[in-house]
Amino acid sequence: MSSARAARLLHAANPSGILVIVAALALWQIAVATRLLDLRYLPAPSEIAVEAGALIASGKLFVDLGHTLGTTLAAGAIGAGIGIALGIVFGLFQTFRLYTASSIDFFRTIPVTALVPVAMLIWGPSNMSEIVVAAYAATWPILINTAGGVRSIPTRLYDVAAVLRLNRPALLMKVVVPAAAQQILVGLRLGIVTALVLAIVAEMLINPRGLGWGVISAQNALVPERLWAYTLTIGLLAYLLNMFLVFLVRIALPGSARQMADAR
Amino acid sequence: MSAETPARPRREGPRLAWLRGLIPLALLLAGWQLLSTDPLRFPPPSRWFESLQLLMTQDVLLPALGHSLVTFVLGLGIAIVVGVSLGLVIGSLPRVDRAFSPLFDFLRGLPVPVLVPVTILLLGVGLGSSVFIVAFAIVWPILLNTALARRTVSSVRMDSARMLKFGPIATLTKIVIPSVFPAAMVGVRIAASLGVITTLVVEMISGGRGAGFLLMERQARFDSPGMWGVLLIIGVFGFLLNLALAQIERRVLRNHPGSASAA
Amino acid sequence: MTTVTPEATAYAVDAVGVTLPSAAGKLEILKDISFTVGEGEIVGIVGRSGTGKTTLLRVLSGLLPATAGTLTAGQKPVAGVPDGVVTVFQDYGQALLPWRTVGRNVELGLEAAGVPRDERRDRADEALRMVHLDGKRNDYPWRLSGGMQQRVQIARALALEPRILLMDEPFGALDALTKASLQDELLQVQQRTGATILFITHDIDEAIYLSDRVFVISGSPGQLTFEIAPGLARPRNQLVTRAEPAFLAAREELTKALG
Repeated sequence: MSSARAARLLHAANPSGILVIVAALALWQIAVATRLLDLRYLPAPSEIAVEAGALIASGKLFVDLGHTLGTTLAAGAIGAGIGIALGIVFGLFQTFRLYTASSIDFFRTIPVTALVPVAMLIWGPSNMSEIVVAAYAATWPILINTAGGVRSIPTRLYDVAAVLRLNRPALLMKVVVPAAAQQILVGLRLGIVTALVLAIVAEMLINPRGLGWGVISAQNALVPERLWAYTLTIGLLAYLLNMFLVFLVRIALPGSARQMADAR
Repeated sequence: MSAETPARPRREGPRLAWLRGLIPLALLLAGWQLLSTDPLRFPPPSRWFESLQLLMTQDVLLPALGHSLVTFVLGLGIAIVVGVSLGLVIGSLPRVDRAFSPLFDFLRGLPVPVLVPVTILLLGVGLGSSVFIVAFAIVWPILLNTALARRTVSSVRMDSARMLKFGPIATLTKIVIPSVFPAAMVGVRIAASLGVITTLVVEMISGGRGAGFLLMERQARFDSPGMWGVLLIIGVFGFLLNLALAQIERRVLRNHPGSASAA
Repeated sequence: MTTVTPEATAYAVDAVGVTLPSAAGKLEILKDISFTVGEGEIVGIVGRSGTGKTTLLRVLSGLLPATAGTLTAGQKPVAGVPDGVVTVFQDYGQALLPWRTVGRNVELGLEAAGVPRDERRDRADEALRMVHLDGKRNDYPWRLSGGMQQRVQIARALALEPRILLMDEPFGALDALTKASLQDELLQVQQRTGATILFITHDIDEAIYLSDRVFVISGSPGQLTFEIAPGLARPRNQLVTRAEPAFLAAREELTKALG
């Protein structure tokens, strides 16, 4: 490997960034170990790691992770189905937009977490409540971004579809959806990330399963290491899920669409 | 063709169009009122107002709303101060920016609900920990937008400052802050919307007082008209706040064409 | 006006006008346009900017209904996009689908017509060969030069074997050399297929070089104010034809007619 290429790879891996994180963890460890920070509920990273190890060994962490992640993805899929369909309608028809925009804005700005007790009222402490809330939350960013993508389609493409005599379904499938694809994918990513947050809220408040419930039960049992372990697991899950989705979006678009998007 | 042709501009008063879009919402509420079949889970809107009135006379509603408002405003205020100042510092030191960005990415991706148990464990329940969580959760859009804007302040402007022999304070107040203002404003708007949601979540999870707690409490007591009423208030507040912020942003940004925004 | 036998008429336009709503009430864009075009003719339309040439082309292509007068294509009244009529646009960058390869772009119209896959591939290949882009079927449009992209759009139209080809400033965005080679390519295509071609251009020389007749649209609202048939020999040649006396005379007359 040439030294220039090695230098580029090294730079891309962001060594100073990794250093900062390692340093922060090290400071934390030292501060607690030397009793500089002596809060009753602040364990050292090493103690948290031990507890996390126990959770992994017993399989509990994976079960909880599976529940939360599974719910998130299912909610994302539901939100995608509804959000993309409605988003296309909203994006294509100005009359529809005029008569619904403010209502959609209203529903959109209702904090979805406020609907968690509503779900509890209707479906009780169940997986159904959790999925409904998460799917509802995922629908909005998907809808808004799909509509945005559809509205930004160059008008020339509609002329082309007309002169080549594409019927309505062909126009949708061959022109509208591919043209809006990039922004639809951005919306999907936001939707899934939002669904994760709501799933956790539901697990903490109304559905005793998954990682969210793990946090609450650790809190109730007054085992701070476990509380921190679950908290950091959730943080890692959110971080990795987002990065993974960004990566998926990047490879999902063929080079040409990326080019078109860059040109725009 | 279903899409509108560009050669057909619509001449509508903007105020009217706005209201027209609320028709589905009005229809929903009206229909709900008339067709209410499940009074336990879906009580008609008229009963919501009765319950809210009751809560008001019991001196429960207004203190709760007030508590939430105070939490929100304090949290947003701290987030603005910290976000702008840290953002300016980080934006002017690109290497520091790069070094801290993975850590910041992780911290800002932490779902808000999981911050609550940890913070309460360390700081206890109360206004302090609520404000801390709100500020911590919503500082990021402000910080990142400000940093980005600071990073991209054109070198021509900085050179002008040097040429006019501005000291560091003058450079800051006369050149840097006005330059980053539009992007910071966008960040504040995002943070404010986030702040409403965060305040709610914190109150719901940590108990204590506030509109979020009231919402959970009404549901737990099976006072579903009260629950829906509180929800309506929260919805209206969020909607109006969003509108107000959009107006402010539009007015502020009118004189700042081409402002950048991140996050 | 040259008379054409009714069976071989591509377009019969009678007193066509177009009035559109605008910010300031109704705006009359075109008024009292009448002409006929025979099958296999090449007609160039020139005029100053804003005189409604593009509007006229959109009416001919079925994208915009006329608000006055009658219009038939191949004996049938025009309502929506007529059979056998395809339009090529100036902005090839926007007109091609960037997420499809060249080959699949060319096949788009055939897909819409329900042509089976093997036949689609053959017809697309044939069209690409006609515009000398046979090796490019698997490339994406953004990889090609402007001239090549425009040829892809033309190939997409040709794949449908149109009886009438409408073109809105097809070579307007290209440099002089590319323009010249595409002009000749277009003439070859027309000779092979016998299609009727109507095209808009800003370039008077291009109009004279390519056409059997040239129409001038001028005024506001736009009207057909002048028509000329330069009567140049075919096959054309970039150097020889442009030096012919008839060419120069036509150029002079058209320049005067444009005012």
